[in-house]
Amino acid sequence: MRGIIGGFIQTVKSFLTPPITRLYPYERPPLEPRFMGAPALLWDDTVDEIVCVACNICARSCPDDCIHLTGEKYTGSKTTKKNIVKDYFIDLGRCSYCGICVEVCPFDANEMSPHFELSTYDRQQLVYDKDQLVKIARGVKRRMGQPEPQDVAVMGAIDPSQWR
Amino acid sequence: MEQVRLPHLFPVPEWMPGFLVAPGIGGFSLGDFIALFILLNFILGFVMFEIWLERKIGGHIQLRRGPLPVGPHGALQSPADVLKLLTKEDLTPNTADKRIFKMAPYLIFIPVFLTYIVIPWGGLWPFNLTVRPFDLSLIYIVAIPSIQGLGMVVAGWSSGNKYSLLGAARVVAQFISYELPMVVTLLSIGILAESLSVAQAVETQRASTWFMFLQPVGFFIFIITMMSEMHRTPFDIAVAESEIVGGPFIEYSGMRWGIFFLAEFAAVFLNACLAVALFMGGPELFPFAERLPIPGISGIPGISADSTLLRQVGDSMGVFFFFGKAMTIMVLVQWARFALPRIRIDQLTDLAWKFLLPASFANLILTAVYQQFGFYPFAAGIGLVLITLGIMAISYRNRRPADNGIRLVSVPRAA
Amino acid sequence: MAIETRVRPDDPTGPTQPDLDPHSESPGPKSMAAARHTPVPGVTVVSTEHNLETMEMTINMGPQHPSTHGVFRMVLTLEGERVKQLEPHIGYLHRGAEKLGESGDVEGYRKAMIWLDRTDYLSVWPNEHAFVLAVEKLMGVQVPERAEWIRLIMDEFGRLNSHSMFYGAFGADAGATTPFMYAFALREELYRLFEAVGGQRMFPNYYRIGGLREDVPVDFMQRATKALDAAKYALGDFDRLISDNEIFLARTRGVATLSAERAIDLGCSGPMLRATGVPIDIRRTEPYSFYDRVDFEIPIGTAGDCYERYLIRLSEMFQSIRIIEQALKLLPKGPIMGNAPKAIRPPKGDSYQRVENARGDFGVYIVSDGKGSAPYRVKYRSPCFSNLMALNDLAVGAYVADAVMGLGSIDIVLGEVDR
Repeated sequence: MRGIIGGFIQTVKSFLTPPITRLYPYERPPLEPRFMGAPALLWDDTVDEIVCVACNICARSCPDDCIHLTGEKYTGSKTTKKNIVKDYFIDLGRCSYCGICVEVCPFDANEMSPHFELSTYDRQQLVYDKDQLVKIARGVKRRMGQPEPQDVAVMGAIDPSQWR
Repeated sequence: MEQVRLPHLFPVPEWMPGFLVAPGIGGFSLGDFIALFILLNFILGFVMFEIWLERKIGGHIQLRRGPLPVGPHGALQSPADVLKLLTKEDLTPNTADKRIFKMAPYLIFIPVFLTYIVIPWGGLWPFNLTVRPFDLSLIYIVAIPSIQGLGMVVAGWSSGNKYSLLGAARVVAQFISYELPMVVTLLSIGILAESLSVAQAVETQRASTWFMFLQPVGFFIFIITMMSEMHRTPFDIAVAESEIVGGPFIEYSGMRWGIFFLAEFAAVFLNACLAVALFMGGPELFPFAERLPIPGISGIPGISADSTLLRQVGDSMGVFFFFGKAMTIMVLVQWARFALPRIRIDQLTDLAWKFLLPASFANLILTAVYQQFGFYPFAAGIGLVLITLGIMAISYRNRRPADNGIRLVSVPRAA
Repeated sequence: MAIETRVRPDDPTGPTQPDLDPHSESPGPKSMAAARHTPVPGVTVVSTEHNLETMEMTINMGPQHPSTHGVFRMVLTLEGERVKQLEPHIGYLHRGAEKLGESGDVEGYRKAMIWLDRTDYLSVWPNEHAFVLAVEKLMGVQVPERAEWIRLIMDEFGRLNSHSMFYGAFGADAGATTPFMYAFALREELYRLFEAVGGQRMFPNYYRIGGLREDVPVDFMQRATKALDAAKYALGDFDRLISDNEIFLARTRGVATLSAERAIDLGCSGPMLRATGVPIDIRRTEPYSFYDRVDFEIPIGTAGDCYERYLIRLSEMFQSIRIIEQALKLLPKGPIMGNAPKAIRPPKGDSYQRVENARGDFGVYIVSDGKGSAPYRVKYRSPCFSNLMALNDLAVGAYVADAVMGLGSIDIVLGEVDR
């Protein structure tokens, strides 16, 4: 009987502990800086142009073959690119959010955004094109491969207001 | 106004108009029908509250919150659930025996509701709320709820599903095993109350003391058997979620399942009310009368159940005390659900036949001793029982295997 | 209840057609049941004692089931409440992890890691560790100390995660719903740590050949200590809730016992083997990483029943906490990537690396042909697959409830069984 009484007392203890539930979607979970949501294409704001040069390395490295892209010759004068991306599709329904495409990109052109609320009613809507991928990169800076800032108290450093 | 035919322990007040209490069809008067209607609605509403309370308690025990979004603190969750169940598709399996498949939920709910009519709720000025306090109610509260067992077996058998058959077989074993200790315990209550009427038991508890104190063993046995009769964890092997996924109730969906669910929670409240009425003095506020059963010790003078002030309070507000006590027992039963794992069917029947039944017989004998011979032999009997238990506990402790069996070893590191 | 005798003769010509008595078929469409009914070899109706002729019942604890820890199907032949025969059906979660690991014309080794993550999805880190150690052994890559220590720490956190999930699921099998929630409270803390370190909660894809993908975050020490505190607190809760509970003891003591010889015959490993008394733990018998520099003990049982497996897993959680505390103190500074080339092309050869998963002896076998950028053959030796074969020993002859408890105590993860 003693074990049973001990179990009862333990449940009293946990009854008096504040619950750990977070009231999503009214309370957003704090995301870590490294959180890997949907891969996003970075836009170079200083020259107002997309960074990606359509080298195809991310598409070849993707384990799920979910990136499809085409490039075209670069005819502008803002940067020294030779090619620039024309169409870029990521099938987010297939993506495994592993971050390999970000890791292998030699031009630092993409980054994993903290965007994870991707539910739609139609599977075709999960295929994001270039404009959508640039849009979800808003507020995201390239982090992979950059030295980590040493002075930041980084517990949950992404501001939830930066998500959408 | 003429006296009604059925004997009432609580006389009908004089100002009650005649047409309400005149016996009509089958001996029921219009007032009876109104009372039954109110009772049914009250039970259905209270069950919703009870379900909400259980989910909240369970949630907080489990470090979460229970239902929250629907209504303030999730208070409207139960009505929402009922609405959802009402709008679900009515599925009847092809291989089921359709007529009794549809009949089974009612076989479970109706006995539960029928047993509610003998519970002495207490006084709510100017009424005394008991629908039918008749002389044989102790037998009634054993006989009628046993139809529930029949209902579950019918549900399991008629579903055409092997899991429900398994569940039904377990239900049969469980129900039969736990009827007997319950009956014997209620017999000892009958001995103490000197009658087979629940309302008379309440009156006797007013005169002496709460039977919980006179029969702690009986109270304990009653709580355990009642948890088993209702198929609550830890005795819910018949409905085991993680093994046979609902036992007899697998094939029921929508409101048919809703009736099962309702019946289960109504039974929880019913058994809590019975425990209160039989063991905790019903609507009585204070457990000790001026004249305690222990000779030589008198109660606290002035504050005793027999005093006029307390009796007036009990008569006008007794129902609230009843509810308070019933909800305490109900919360205890619900708490046990979240704190305990379930026991296996053979361990369950072992518990009933090898432990509860002899214990309830011992309780019966001791109660008879008390009733016949007075207090001191009763105390001697209790002492004897405690000594026996102590000897058993000590010998069991010596016989137990030494350790848990696991040991921590430092296996030397391989080269 | 219609009691009838039915004698099923051994039919050498093929599967017997069950007679379509509606109360004797497994639930589901009749055609599917008839198609899947495999003959029960040599079994006839038994038990004509007391002039009662009873019937055996074939029940299907089907792929979707709240207690079978994944999509696992057991076809039980019951006689009353006792299990006479048990037929496991696996393969519902087969996703071709090994074949996918061999595909990939570019960066095949990096891609293979992803599928490996998703095999044992509860304790993810030891699996990744096995893979990278196998390839590093093949290529002769030196891993810097800091990387290896971090790998050890995260391995043990993965073990904590998996064992607390076991606790939750085992408690739920026994009927108590509260341990499940306690387990998830602890796992939530651990997952936040994994998110901070690896980027994702469940499938971090963090270990790389030669080291790690990137260094741990700046506040790793505080975070790890916070997670350890949460684990200690939770373990106290776990223990107090059901470890001494008489009902739980009655459900698990002496239930689903396995003997040491049988366990070795079946190739069991991990807590199942250690519960029977055989003191084999890969971290001690074939130490990899820095397990020979930390001080820990391994719990060994004697009786081999469910309760001892449960206690061993809880003890292993305590030992994991101890290992992590020591490792956090010994963690040096330094680089986290060794001398691995950018394009990973191991020379021709093969290698096998064994690690101690939360469930036992997880092994990765890599065959490289020297030419491609993906392994020629990658095989995962999953401990759950071998442990699951013990289910027949555990469950046959026991009650249905005991079969369920036995299955729960093997602690299978279907991703690993089916790969």
